[in-house]
Amino acid sequence: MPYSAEINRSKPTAFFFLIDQSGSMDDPWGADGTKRKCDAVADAINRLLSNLVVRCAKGEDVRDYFQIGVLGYGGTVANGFGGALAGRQFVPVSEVANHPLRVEQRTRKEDDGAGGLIERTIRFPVWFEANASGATPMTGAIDTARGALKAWCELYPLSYPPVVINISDGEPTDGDPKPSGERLKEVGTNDGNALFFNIYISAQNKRPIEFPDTQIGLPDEFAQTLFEMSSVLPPRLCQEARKDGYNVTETSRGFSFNADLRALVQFLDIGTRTADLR
Amino acid sequence: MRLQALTENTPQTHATSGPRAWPDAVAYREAVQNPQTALADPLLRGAQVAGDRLGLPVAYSGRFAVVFRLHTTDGDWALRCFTQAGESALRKQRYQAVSDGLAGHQAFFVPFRYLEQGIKVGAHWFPAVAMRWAEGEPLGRWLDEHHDRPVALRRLCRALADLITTLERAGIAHGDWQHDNLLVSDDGRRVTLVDYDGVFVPALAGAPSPELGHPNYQHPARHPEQYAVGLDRFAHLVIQTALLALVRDPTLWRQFSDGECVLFKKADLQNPPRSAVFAAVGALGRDDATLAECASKLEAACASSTAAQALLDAGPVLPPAVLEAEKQSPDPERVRARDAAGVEDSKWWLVGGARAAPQSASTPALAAKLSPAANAPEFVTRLAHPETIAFEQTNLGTLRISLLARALIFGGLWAFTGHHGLVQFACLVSLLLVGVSFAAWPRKKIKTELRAAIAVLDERIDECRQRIADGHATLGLFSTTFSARNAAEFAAAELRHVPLAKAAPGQIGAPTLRRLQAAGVTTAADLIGRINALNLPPGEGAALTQWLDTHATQARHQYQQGVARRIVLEQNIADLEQAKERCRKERNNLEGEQQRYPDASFSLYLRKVLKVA
Repeated sequence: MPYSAEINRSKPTAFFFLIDQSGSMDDPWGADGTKRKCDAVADAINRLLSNLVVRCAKGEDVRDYFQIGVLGYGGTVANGFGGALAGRQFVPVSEVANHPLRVEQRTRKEDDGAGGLIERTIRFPVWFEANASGATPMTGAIDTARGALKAWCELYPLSYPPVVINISDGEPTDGDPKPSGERLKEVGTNDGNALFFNIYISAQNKRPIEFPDTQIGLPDEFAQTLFEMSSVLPPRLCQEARKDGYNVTETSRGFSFNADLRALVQFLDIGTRTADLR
Repeated sequence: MRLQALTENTPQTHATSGPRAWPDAVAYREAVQNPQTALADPLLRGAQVAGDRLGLPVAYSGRFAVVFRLHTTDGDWALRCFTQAGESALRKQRYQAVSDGLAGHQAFFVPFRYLEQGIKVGAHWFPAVAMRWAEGEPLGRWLDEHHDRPVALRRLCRALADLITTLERAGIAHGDWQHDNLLVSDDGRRVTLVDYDGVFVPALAGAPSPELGHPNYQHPARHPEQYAVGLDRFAHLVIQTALLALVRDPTLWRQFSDGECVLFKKADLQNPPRSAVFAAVGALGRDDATLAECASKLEAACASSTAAQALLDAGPVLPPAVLEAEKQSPDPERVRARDAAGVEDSKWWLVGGARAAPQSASTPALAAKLSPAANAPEFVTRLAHPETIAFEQTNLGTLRISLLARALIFGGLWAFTGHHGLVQFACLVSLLLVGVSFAAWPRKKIKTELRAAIAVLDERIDECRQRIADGHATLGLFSTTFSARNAAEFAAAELRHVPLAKAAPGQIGAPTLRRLQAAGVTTAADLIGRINALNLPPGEGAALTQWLDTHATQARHQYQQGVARRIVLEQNIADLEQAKERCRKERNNLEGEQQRYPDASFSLYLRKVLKVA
């Protein structure tokens, strides 16, 4: 049965994030428009990386169940990690844990349950920085990802297949990404083909669509392209999505349109929930 | 890495309005950074969360929960936060029943409290469990370090056998024996269980099991209705078989373990005939009856769910294999030298640098040791063995024949050629032959071994003596730096090194600082008990108190660590003394044997060869 390989230190799995950093990501996002799209996405990615780290943490020892890669594309395609991890394509999660770019002290105002707001300071590690400039070389990014994944799959042929998540807000400027997307999905391990999920962030005032199983109802052509490029959810991820309250069928794909930030983080979390980690 | 102060709204991933979304591990990790506001329990509110070098709380992630370590005034506690929703009321009932059922078993379980209002994430309270932090290494890590030390492994087998016997006698089952939930002391003598989500106590009989344990340790067909005492037997059998196999062959560890199992994995338990691990263990079982019995029991249990059920239904009596292993484990008061390479029971003092795999498993000496007359002189009894006698006969016989043959050949040659040199040559060769045979003479050989054993023991005793001296030196050095008699004295001394200037500008203003310094209050120690009398502006007074408290707690914590360290050092010395005593006793035994040893001189040998003795 595909997508059922055990994940452990000798058979890690990989997560690869493609993040749109084009100029349009500078626009405000969502109904309230208080945040820029690129900031929101950076926060979501950083929180997800924290999540992946904590999931592998057994005290000070972070077990290398995952290998993580981040690619930003805005004008050019570049590796998204910085600092000590700069220039590296796949980083084992233990190294991600030890080398954030910085740990920020963020204050958060929260409802104290008694009608007031209370301010708390928390430490928030940051690996990926928000950036927004240039065009959208998505096809180039997908091709680069494919190259990296192919090499990874050759090193770990028995592992659970890698998951690639692409976050973008608009049309690519370097051609039709579909053929590249299809080629990306052909790479894989013994346990199945790579999974390609897409998140379409849009400022349009349209109803959010999450894990659709049909093209009907998708707002524009680009959404349709991304939908077609997205892989169908394997059974386990289907279960996870259902557990979280999403209405999914067997043909639902890993695609999300116009989600708010909370849903974005949720999608990322579900997308990276692979086999039961012990 | 820089710390940046940013005032910014972080992603509200779990909306404060609307339905209560269950927090994930990161949400808990953020919440626990502020124990004063996020925790309700008074002991835990004032605690310091253990952090890594980036300042983030250290997290221990499991399937259903994430655990953080808190340093409190009552020692270290673990805070276990649930990452899966589950039914809260049911969970609370379970934990109450388990808490009552485990009362009185502090040897294996740590004290714990279920906190309904455990931790606050956002605007909502979520349940959590506070457990006293258990000392010891998780089994997986312990085996990484000790998998090639048979003595320690056998000790652990015995500890686990004790554990399961105690549990079953009390009608309790843990339900999730695995490498992360069994904490082993360094010497392998004590085991503590953690993670009580699946514990069975008699009060819970009839309910379904809340979880199914770790698949690498449980029967593949285990299902929730199986919830009774005896639940741990299968996992115990898996671990025990693995430990006994490692005693025979430590290389199995590198071969088969990947950090998520103890040699056996789910696939092996599902299909033993096609499992490489079972094959390897089976091969080792040919030389070890107990291992063979354990392995075959395990295989049988895997193969049929009725056998597994039988294991469960066998009542409070443990399978014989477990009791056998108990009988065979060595006297627990053995050498606990730090570099103790595990050695076979008969020559346990032969600790050396190389971690030799025990090959001399089936020597007659071992059998003699395990028999009831274990105190009979070992080397001397070997002389009486039919084997030894046979060897001696062969030795003497061969020598006689070759001497005779030589005499005939050289005699004949001499007769023909008249060469005198031949006679000398013949004598030389004969002498050599006799010498070689004499060395191979069993009686002589055993005597040489005896002498060598005594020499090794002497060396051992000297080494112990040296290390005891070193230990005393270390302890002495430590005592000069750590001489406080109680926590208060230590804290006062430490705080004398914390200048008041460190508190400003965060807690107090510059003018206040100057005023205090002028009044002679220059260090944190000077503040103890005097803050209220100093007439500080209100905000500063509170801030200063908190600052002082933080440092005082830290100092108290350091004191506890110091005390623990001293205890460890003293324990080390005590253990070495014990080891030295054992070595000395054994050496005296061997010395006695040497004196009682029958004559093994060359003249006797010659007389035997010539059949005149």
